[in-house]
Amino acid sequence: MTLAPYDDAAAGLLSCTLAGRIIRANRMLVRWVQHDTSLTGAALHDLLTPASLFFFEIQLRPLLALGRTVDGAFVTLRCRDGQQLPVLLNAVQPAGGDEVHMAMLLVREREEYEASLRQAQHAAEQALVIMAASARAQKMQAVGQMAAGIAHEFNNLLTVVRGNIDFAQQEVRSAMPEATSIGDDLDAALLATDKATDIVQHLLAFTGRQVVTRANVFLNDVVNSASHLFVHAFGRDVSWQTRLEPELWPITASADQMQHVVTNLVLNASDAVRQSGRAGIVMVSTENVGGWMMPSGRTADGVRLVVTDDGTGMTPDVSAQAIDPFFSTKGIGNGTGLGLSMVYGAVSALGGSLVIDSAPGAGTRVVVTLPRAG
Amino acid sequence: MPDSASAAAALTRNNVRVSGRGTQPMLFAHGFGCDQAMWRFVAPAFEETHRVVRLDYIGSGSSDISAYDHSRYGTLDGYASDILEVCAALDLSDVVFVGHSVSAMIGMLAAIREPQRFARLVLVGPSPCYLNHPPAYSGGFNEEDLRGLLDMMEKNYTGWAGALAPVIVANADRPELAQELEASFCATDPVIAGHFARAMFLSDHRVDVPRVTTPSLIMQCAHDAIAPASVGQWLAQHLPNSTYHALQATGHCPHLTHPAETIEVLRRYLAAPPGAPVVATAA
Repeated sequence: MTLAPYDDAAAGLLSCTLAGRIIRANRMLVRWVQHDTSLTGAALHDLLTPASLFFFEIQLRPLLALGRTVDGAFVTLRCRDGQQLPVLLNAVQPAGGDEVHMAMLLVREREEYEASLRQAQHAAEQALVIMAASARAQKMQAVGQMAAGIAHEFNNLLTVVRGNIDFAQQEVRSAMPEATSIGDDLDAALLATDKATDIVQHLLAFTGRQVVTRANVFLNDVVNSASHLFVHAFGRDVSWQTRLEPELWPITASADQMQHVVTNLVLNASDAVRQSGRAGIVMVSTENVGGWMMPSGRTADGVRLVVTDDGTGMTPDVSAQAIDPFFSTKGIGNGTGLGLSMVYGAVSALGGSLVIDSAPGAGTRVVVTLPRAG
Repeated sequence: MPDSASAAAALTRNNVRVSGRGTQPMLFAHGFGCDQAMWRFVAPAFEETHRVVRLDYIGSGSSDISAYDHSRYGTLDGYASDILEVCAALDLSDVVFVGHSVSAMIGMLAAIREPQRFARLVLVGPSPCYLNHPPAYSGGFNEEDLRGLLDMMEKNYTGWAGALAPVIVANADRPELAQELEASFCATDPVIAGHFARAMFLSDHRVDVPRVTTPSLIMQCAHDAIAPASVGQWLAQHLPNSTYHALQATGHCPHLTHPAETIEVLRRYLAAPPGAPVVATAA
């Protein structure tokens, strides 16, 4: 008997005996599993993958035997050509009867759709991360180029200025030893020139174009040797804590530069605590990081330095500009705005990364990760 | 005798139910993916003559999953320990152990460890090893099938299909039995079930089979896709003091689909001396 609504239903329909012998199956199901004419007399077992067969016998058949219906169970059909066809299965075994009735819906599209959604979401998240990183890198590169240009030109000019002041001082001293006020003026000019030279050096450090000698450096030693300095600088309201990994790996860097890095981060942190007007804590920790993804995209072992404070914290705006050269929250005259820039430059030149995690009122965490030496 | 606290803990952990008017204990242990409700058509038939004990393995039915221990239940031995702890808690001896599917092997492991507790083992659709080990042994499945099964379980228990996610039915009007069935049957904890499936699939207890000394009955179904006749026959050859009986029942759950035949064969086996064949069966 052929019954159009049954045979052409938009679902696979099947009835079988309790022993799994197929009594009837609609044309749609026959077409799905690619049997030539009919499934009547075939075994239900032959339509299921081994895993589905196992699941059906162990999990679904007991439900049916106890009078429960199976609603929307996921099983996989096995086609004649070996392909697998995921379906959602509804099944019922009417009480006292000796047949099981089943209806199936294809879910291949749904499976693929969900997989593609997950993939698209993953790709979009990755793209956002890469875009943000690349925008930042571009900006820092542009700023770096400008800074390098300025620093180079100023460095040349300052050398000339300093040299000439030196000459002038010597000439004044020999020609007019009594004119001490001129000598003092020139001293002041010389001091200012030295300050300007410092700033230029810091700018160069930010651009990573400073020539430094590198050796194996243990960050714990750097932190420990600077700690007496901090204790003096902190005052009463800022306490100091370290949590250093005893088996810390070495890095290849300039010890002086690393001292600058640690000092800058720690002094920034203590300033943030002091600005909050409350007593607070600055914590420095070190740790080894296996499988660290370097900014270059390579995976390597890294050494991490984390400086945490419970001070004022920064708004997203401020934290985004924190490493820009000459950006400062400390007011004109209270800082050059080059501290974090230098830290960033030194860290970048070593292939490391610097991440700032901060929110107003929630303190700041600066995480510096550098490649392990070797 | 265990102390009363640990005895009570074992009985709670495995949701142990005791019924019947007889003295010889008959312990019914369910297979993977089910719980003690699957014995409802068979166990009551023995309440007149036996002390009927039913239990839920941890993660199944109304077991106490807070007692779950990932490493203990990484092998079937952990489940065998549960059986022995329940036996100890109830101070059982002369036990007729009736185990379905994976429970058959769990019962064998328990009987190897404490043979003095057990009088007979009734193994319904047993298999000592579900994986193929060609060319000598064909368990019926390969490791890829296990991955497929775990994927299927994930989708059906917790994934988007969610067809077998536990249903909590709180309806005071229902008869106690129906409510228990609705609430707990197949209420399998997905994480534990996945671990159980691995323990079951990846275990190969063929070497343990000859160490069983307790007389046993192998109940082999016709057209059993989980434990095919070749596996039952392998067991019959290697299991000492065993009686092999081919049921007319088809499938893997004769106690659900053909309870009358299952009860009849069980009765005849228990009435005959150990090792004797089970003669004539009810259709």
